Amino acid sequence: MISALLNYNYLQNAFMAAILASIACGILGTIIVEKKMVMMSGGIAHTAFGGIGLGYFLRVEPIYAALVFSLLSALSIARIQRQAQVMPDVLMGMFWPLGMALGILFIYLTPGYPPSMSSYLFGDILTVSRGDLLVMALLDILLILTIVGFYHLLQAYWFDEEFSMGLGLRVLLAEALTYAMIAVTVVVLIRVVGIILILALLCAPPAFAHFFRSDLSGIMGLSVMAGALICLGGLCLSYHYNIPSGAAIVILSVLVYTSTALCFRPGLHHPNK
Amino acid sequence: MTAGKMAVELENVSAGYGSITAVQGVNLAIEEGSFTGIIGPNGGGKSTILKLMLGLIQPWQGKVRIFGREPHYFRHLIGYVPQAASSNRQFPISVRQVVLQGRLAGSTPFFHRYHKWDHQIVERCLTRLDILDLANRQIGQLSGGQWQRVLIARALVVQPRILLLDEPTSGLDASSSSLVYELLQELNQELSIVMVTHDTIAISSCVKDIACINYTLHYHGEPDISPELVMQVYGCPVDLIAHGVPHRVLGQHGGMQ
Ligand SMILES: Nc1ncnc2c1ncn2[C@@H]1O[C@H](COP(=O)(O)OP(=O)(O)OP(=O)(O)O)[C@@H](O)[C@H]1O
Ligand SMILES: [Mg+2]
Repeated sequence: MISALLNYNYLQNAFMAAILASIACGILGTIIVEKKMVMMSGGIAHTAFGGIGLGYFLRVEPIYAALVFSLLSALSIARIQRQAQVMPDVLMGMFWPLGMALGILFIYLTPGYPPSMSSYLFGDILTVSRGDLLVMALLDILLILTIVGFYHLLQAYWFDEEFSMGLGLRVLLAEALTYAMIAVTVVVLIRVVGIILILALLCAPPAFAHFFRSDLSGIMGLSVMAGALICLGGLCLSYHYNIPSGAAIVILSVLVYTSTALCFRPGLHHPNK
Repeated sequence: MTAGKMAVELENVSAGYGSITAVQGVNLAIEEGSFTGIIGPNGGGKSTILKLMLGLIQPWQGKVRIFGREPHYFRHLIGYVPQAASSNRQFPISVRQVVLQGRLAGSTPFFHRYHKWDHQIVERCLTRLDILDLANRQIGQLSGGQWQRVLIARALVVQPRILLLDEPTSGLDASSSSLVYELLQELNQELSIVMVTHDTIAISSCVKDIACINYTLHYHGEPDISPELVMQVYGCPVDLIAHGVPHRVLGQHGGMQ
């Protein structure tokens, strides 16, 4: 594998993609898990499929269309939720399939032979291009800058929205940033694990890190590392046994989490149980 | 006490959530320097009144004024202690980080860093509440009473002129409660306090006036309540006197108003 890594371009790309994906999934996954937004993120991920379809329909690069589309839908979901006070679960129950439906519709409307969607749905880390890597790297930098730049505001919003509002902090800004970051993360991860499998990669590393660390930045750091190991491990499995990379990564991540959870005695180490 | 100047004014305020009306036609004026206890049954609208004062919810009708202006002008002058049960105690954050958040009032969010004096104020408040040794604990590792004190510390580091507390001593043992009440009375020298409470000891020993809220304001004045008023507010006779505490609450001679 090492020599292959040195010789083959596509493996080098896959390696880089794994690292870049783990940065996004580790940091944002932590927020999603701790702020209990898992289902919300699943919904936002699936709206990205509408963007992919729109990209094919308009003949622009699907990943760019997905970025714009999921940013817009994430922000409108945030807005609808605040104004209409619907239950997030219900909202997701509609937006989740809506994204898929729009994707299917756009692809149906696109003239010519329908493109294969499986690499967007299930991810294919071995076909990541230089262009994809560039997009992923830029989005990662954007995420890190946003988190570092607004850390105290964001932390206050994530922890206690009501108190932050009472202090006069810019809660709406924090909310918009959070939702936008989730949308960006989804786009970073699409090429690696695909829309349908994203949730596992968002949940498993932070949940794993939560066993060992109990401060927000510590959990973020550790889940980036865990995410990197899981993605690289999945890449190895995928390369060696010639199995789909998205599936390998997801199965590995769930295995890592559950085996840790079983080995760890909850109550002895876990601070919240 | 600087009598006359109003810290908080509610003028014919009605408010609620969605289709639920929580409070209706409330007129309440709280002077600067006062220590007001808000009492009333569960669901009576006490927390709603505090949220109106903070500007967290907008009144459907009527006006809320803080120092004569709309609440959002003076948010940095209000310290808020929410009902302890409402917070997400699973969140990975330390006591110090939570209390520091009180120092964020009025800051610019981009690349914000806490200053040295922010940390000093936090240390002072933690010391005052006797929880300095817990500063680096995760909040999930605190007892209910310790967590309540963290919430009070976070409101104090704002350095407010008005302190709004929502049941600050629920879940505290007797000695911690009296610690909190002593502290509040000391703070009351410098700032106005509005406290929602079910604690009869507080009503009889430390507040200067009480407001009884159940859907609407039934009474505001001296902490002396007649049995008729209790019937009116709670719908049944409630013993508001704690054993062994001087009778200030339930006037024995009946109708006080
Ligand atoms: N977020 C909310 N959504 C809908 N209704 C609410 C909400 N919060 C409170 N209510 C309703 O408003 C009314 C007043 O509630 P409020 O929380 O102000 O009562 P409270 O006096 O603080 O009660 P408690 O002593 O139990 O804290 C209640 O009827 C309640 O059902
Ligand atoms: Mg309440």
